[in-house]
Amino acid sequence: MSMAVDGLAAVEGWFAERGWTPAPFQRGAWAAFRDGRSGLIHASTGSGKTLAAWLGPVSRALDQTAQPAGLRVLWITPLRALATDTAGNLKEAIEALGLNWRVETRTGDTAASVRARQRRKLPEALITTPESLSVLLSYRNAEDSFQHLDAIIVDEWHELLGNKRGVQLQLCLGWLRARHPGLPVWGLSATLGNLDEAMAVLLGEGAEPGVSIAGDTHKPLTVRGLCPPSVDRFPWAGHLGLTQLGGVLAYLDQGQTALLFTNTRSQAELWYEAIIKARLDWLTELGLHHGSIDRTLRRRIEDGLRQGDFRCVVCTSSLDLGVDFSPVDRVVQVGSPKGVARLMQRAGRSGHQPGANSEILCVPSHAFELVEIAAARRAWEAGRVEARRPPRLSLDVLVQHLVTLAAGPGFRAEEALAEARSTHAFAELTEEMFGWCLLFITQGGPVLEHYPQFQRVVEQDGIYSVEDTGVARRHRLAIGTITSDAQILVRFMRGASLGTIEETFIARLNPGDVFLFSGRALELVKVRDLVAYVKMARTRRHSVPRWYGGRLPLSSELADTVLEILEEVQAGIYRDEEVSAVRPVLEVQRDQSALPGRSNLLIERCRSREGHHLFVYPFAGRLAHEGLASLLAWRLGQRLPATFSLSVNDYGLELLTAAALPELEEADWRALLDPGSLLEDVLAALNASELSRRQFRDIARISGLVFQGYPGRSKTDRQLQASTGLLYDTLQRYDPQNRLLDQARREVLEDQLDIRRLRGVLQRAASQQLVMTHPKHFSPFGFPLWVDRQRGRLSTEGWRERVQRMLASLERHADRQDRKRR
Amino acid sequence: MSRTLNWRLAGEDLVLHGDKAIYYPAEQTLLVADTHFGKGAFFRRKGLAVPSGQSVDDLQRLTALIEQFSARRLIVLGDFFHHRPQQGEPFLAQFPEWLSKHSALRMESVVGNHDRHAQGIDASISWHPYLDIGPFRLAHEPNPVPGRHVLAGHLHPAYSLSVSRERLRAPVFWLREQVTVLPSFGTLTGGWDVVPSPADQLVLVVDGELFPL
Repeated sequence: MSMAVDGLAAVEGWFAERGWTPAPFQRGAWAAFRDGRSGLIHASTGSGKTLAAWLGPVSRALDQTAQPAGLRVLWITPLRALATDTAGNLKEAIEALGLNWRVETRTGDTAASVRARQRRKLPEALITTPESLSVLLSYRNAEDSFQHLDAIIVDEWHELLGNKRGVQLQLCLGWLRARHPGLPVWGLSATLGNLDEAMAVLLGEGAEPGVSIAGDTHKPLTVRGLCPPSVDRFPWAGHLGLTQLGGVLAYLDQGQTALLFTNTRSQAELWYEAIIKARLDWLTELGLHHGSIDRTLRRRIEDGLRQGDFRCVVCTSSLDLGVDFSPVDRVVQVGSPKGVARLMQRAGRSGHQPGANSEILCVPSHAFELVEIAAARRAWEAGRVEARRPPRLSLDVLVQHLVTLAAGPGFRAEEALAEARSTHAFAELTEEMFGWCLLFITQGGPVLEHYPQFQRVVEQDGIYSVEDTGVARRHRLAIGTITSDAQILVRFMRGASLGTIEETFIARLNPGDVFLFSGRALELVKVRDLVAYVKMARTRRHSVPRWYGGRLPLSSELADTVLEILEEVQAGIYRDEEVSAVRPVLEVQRDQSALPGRSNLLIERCRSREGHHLFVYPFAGRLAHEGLASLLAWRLGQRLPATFSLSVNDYGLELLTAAALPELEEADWRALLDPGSLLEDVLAALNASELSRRQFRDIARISGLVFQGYPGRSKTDRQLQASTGLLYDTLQRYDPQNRLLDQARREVLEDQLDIRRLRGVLQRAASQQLVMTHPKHFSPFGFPLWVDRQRGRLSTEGWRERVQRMLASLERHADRQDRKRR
Repeated sequence: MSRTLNWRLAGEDLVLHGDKAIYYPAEQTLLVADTHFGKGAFFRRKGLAVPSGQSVDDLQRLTALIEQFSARRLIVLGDFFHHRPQQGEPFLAQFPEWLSKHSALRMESVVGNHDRHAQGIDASISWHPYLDIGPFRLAHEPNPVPGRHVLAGHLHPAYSLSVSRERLRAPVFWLREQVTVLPSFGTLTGGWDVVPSPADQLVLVVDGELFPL
């Protein structure tokens, strides 16, 4: 129990003692909190956001003479790796201020003994993730645990806003708000294109308007592209940009500690290996950090970074977030950052030393990415930052949340409906949808006969609860919305584990095969019970695991700035060094074909031995192009009998057909690009059911339709394995009205095909001039599409044709091998 | 590519069928593996909302196969049940009714690892640890037996065909020198990716059609 003091004065005094002055936004945040308001604090990393949020509730507690026992401040972080560091920072402040609070973390990493203690009594301040918060709600005494809650603080809210983890958190907040009306909720966020929306989503429907507090103004930032001496010798789509290693090493040599970001884990492995080879003397000062690497190894690297032990750490988005690594003075980004916000976040990892500016060196993986780099700089300067769109009506998450509550204190239907509707995500939830969710968890579905003996949630006297302890146990294990492929632990035959890797990758390897992982060449010895046993390999020939995900499309903000630059190039203006470096390429494009822009859409047509190629360059990102390519192929297919191979990248798309293709006039293109009947045509064009089937995987896991295995699972649990694809087919056939199927279709359109952006492309095209060219050879824009060709999935081709074509292709391959051997 | 494929194995003529079955004409015997009856019900009992209906459909598939070949004997190569069925489970009513319509049929099963839970359940079928017919050993687990060609299940073999970034995964008949593994018959059963050696033959099953690789 602490003595009552003037809390705010104490905080000011502590700052003064340390020779600091609170920033205006920090004072603003404290005052707003003390007024009982909620809000959003947005500022870059390392600007003092944490103290701005933390010291409000702390100063209030210092005001009070009596301190009620139990949880007072709930601090949500998206990253469990961040929890410990945050706890350290929070503790430091209250110890200095003499507030006798316990600060603890609770994440998936927390020891079972600590979790058990916390179940009985929570500390005054708890730092946890959205998933662990849900788990807390799944215990019977959940209501008591939060009795004395004074404040909720959500750190890095921008990381949660646009995904289902955020939806899960919204539901938990809805539940807490219903029990604590007027409870202050504060979010901390990096710069976003939709900050107002971000705050509204956090505070919930019908909340009093929050206070938006801007941190430091624009932080000075230098973005520089690494321009190769000559672009001729540059690999067009060879990727990885390892040819630039020399330039990167020279840059690293100038600094003390560097972070080198890559977009994928495979690239991180390759860069780590390349740097080690080139700088053997850095062996102990070079680190590798990505999401698959063992947690303790990652932790060691993070600690080393903070102490300045490292020359360079090669990493992925795994180090995007997090506490400050003050010694970092160099940041390198390999490959296009694909978005302005992401680039800025990464750049912000450097320059935490007093008076230092943030700087980032961008290494293009092909020449044209230099234009993207210049565009990113300009977009940042113009304040054009991406928005993150909060998902709506994710019934899978709602279903999971309802079972969580049923396993915990139980719920009444009308209360749960009101709480759900108090969130942004479910503001438009109809009684009918909610009713379906209740039927889904109590009897499997609306048609009882379809689900005999189903048992999950039971309703009695209006209270919904879980009675079966096995159901409750499995549900707690499955709480969360982060889904990934089955993971396999990688460990040495005797000893240390190195991390986890997708089962699908290991499944393709045979014992004796060598692969690159965690910075080592490893030989697979055997796989037993979800563990891959390995030993150090003698040979260096290896394959690199390909991890899925992480392929973000180029953002609209960045793409539009690229088009703006191309318009200047068209007019002969070169304002950026990076753009000048690719001038020869751009001039070839201009002379052989044309340059696209915001007011004109470039369409190229050319012939090769393969057939007729059509190239279109809307610059709308890979996802929207995938939908557009299928749409165009389908609409063309309606006019003439032809099948197409499709290829897309962030700039445009290619359609290839062996059939004789008639000349397409402007009127034809206008019809092909007509925004009318977009939805119907896209659904007809794509093998929508195949895509939905894949999308269904996550939905099935989140909604508890399947139970995912984990190492050490019991035999019963093993017998509960089923592939989500099979379940999708089963539901399609026996319960086609299941709303989760509908959700899968909706998510395919919204997330996979970016239908919103696709519609935007067609609407823009209606007012654009169509520039149609007939280059003799592939243009510089067309060439990478040709190189990168991915066979598209066209619905005109059925299963049988597909298998036969694949078999024929294998035959040809085998024949060639035979001839070679002879 | 077709729905049936004649295949000579251990000196005998067999017919592979696209509905994941083998017919042995000389013995008028139909062979399927891993039916996993009651899997959906087991899931529902454990709180996973899997709709019912697969077992009825799987029985209908068996009927169609029996009628197509006029088979007189049906042998399941183990894992007839997924788990011990419980009182009131739809399958316990469906199966006797189905059997009564096939009174001339000799219905047998090899005991699979999943069937061990179902001991004592009266399904009116004859259980065997294994069966020897002609040159074949019918077993659940695909372990080689000297002097016999083994026909087995257990593995739920599947194969991933990949051609220039396109990938297609489908159940397979895995035909090895001494052992042939049938794809799993049950609708709700998954697959295990086989790693064939050069001497092995694979017959892919896509949409009821057979594609020898």
